[in-house]
Amino acid sequence: MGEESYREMPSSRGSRSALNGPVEPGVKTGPEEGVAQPKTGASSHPASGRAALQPSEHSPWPAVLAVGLLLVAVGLLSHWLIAALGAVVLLAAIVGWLWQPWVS
Amino acid sequence: MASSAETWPRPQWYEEGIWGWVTTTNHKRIGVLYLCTSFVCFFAAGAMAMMMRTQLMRPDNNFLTPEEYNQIFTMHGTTMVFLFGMPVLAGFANFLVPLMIGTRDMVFPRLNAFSYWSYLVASLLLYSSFLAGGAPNAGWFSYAPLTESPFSKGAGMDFWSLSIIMLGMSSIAGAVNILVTILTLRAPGMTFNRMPLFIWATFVNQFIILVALPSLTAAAIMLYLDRHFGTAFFNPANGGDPLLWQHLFWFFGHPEVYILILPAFGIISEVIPVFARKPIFGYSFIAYSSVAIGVLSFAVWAHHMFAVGLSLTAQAVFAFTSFTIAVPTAVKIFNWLATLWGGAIRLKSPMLFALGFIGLFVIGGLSGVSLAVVPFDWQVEDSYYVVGHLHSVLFGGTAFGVFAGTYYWFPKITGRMLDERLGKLNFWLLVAGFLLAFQPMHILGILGMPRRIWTYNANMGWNDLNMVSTIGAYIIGAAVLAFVLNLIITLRGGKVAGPDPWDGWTLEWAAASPPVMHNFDRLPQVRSRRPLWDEKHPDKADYLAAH
Repeated sequence: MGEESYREMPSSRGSRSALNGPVEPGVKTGPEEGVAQPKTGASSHPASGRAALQPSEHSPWPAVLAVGLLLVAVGLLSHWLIAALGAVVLLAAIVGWLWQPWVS
Repeated sequence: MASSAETWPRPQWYEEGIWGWVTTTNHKRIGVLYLCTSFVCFFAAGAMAMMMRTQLMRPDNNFLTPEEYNQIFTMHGTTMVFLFGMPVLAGFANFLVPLMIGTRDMVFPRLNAFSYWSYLVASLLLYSSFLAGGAPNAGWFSYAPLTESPFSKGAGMDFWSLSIIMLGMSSIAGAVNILVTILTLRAPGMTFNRMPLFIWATFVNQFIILVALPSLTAAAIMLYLDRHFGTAFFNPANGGDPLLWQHLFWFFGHPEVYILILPAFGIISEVIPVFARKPIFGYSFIAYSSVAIGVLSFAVWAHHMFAVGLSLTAQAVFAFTSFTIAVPTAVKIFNWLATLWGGAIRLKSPMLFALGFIGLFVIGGLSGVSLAVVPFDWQVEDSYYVVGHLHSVLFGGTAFGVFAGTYYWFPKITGRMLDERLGKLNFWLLVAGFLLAFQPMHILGILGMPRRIWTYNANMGWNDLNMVSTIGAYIIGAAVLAFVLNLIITLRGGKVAGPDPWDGWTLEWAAASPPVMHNFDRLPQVRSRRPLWDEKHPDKADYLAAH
C-alpha cells in the first residue's frame, strides 16, 4: 500500500455508500460533493486526478533552504563571505527543490 | 487496558531515523516537530520568567544585573510570542487540519517543511545572540528609536530583526499552505458550514497571519536598514518617525493577540461539546464571530498608542473599535456556557483546562476592555496593569487552550493517554499559579509600578504583592513540571489510547492513534457537522434531524 494515497476514497454522493449505508432520500450533502468525485454508485476508488501526482514523502531541500537563509543571516551579522555561501546554498536548494521529481 | 509497548501501534512515520525526520514533508511529522520545538521554547521562556520574578521578589535585589534583566525580559516576551505561541498553534494546525478535514496531507508539503525549518533556524539564530555578545534588550516590541544604532550598539537588535524576518517568512508560508489546504482539500461533503470549529478558527487565524505578518516583517527589514545602511525610517534625527515603528508594529501586534487566541478558541469549541456530550450551541455564531474578530482585529491597533498624542478623533475611533471587538468574543463565551448548560459533563483533564480557559480568559478580556477607556489607559499605560492584562489573556487564554488541546489530542498524536491524576494536578497548580502570579500585577500597576523595571525601593508599597506574584510564578513552574513528568511517564508506558478514547465526533477520531501515514484507511461520509456521531448513531444522525 502506497503511503501517498487513501486506501479507499469514500463516495460523496453515491446512491449507496459502502461506508455509511444508504444515503437518506432528499438529504442534501453539500456543493463540494460534485467536485472530482466518482460516478454515482461507486463505493470507493483509488486516488485520482489531483491526488495522483504529488511530491515525494521526503525532500531535503526545505531544510537546506532554511539553512541557506540562516547562513545569509549569520553572514550579515559577521562576514560577507558567509552570506555569499548562504546565497549559494539558497540557490542550490531552490534548484534542487524544483528539480526533484514528483511521484505518482 | 493494555499498556505494553507491544500493543502500542507505532506507525511507520514514528519509526524512521533522524534523516527521515529532517527530510520529511508529512504533515504529522512536521506537526510533531513544531509541537516539540515550541514546548522546548516554552520551557526556556518559563525559566526566564522565573528568573525575572526572582529578581522582583524583594526590593533592591541583585539576582540579575540590569543589563541581564533587560535581555531576559526581551527574550522571554519574544520567545513566548514568536517561538512558542504561534508555533505551538501551527503544530496543532499541521497535525490536525488534514485529519479534521479528511485529507491526506497539506496541499504544499515541501513549503510546510520549509515553514518549520525556517522557524527552527530563526530560533537558533535568536538564541545564539546570548553567545555573541548579548541578546536583544529592548523589549519584545522593540520600540524605535531605542532600537536604532545610537541607542542599541551591540548586535542584539540585529539578531532580533533578522530572526523576526525569518519567522515572518515561516509564518506567511505556513499561512498560505494552511489556507489553501482548507480551501481545496476538504473531504467530500465537508462544506464550510460543516467544518469543525477548530478549522474555522484556524482558517481565520491564518488569514490574519497572512495580512498582519508582512507589516512586522517589513518593519524589521526597515530597522535593519536603519541600523546598517544609513536609512532613517525611524530615526528622528535624520527625518524619520519613531511612531512609524509603533504603527507598523501594532498593525501586526494587536492582530497577533488574536493570532494567539483564535486557535485556542477553536480548541475550546472542540473540547466542550465532546465532554458535555452535547452538540455545540450556536455553531454559526461561533464560526462567524471568529470572522468578525478577524476583521475587527485590524481596526484596533492604535489603542496601544493612546499615550503618544493621537488626535481625539483617532482615540475615539480606536476606543470604539476596541470595545466592539469584545462583542464577538463574548458571543463565543455565551455559546460555550449554553453548550455546558444541561450537558452530561465529564470532568477529564481537557475539559478542566477548557473550563479554566473560560473563567480565566474572561479576566483578561475584561481588563482589556478597561484599557480601551482612554483616560484609564493614560493612567496605567506601561505599568504592571498592562503586564497583568497581557498575561491574563495569553496565559489564561492561549496557554490554557494549548493545555486543553494537548490533553485532548495527545492520544491521537502519540497513541497513549496522558495520566489523569497528573493532569488534574497540572490544572489546579496552573490555576493557583495563574491567579497568584498575574492578578497582583493589576494592583501593582494601579499603584504605579512601571513595567520592565529592574528593581524598586522598599518604601514603594509594592513588596508584598511582588512576593505573592513570585510565589505564583513558582507554582506555575511546579505545574509545568507536573506536565513534563506526565509526558515522560506516558511516553514510557502510558495507557494505549485506541482510535477514539473520548468518543469524539470529528474526523480525526476516525483515524488510528497515531494515524497511519496516509491518515485514513476509511473515511466516514460527511453529511453533517458530526460525521462520527452520524456513523455511531445512524438512527439519531444529525443529518436526519436536519431534514
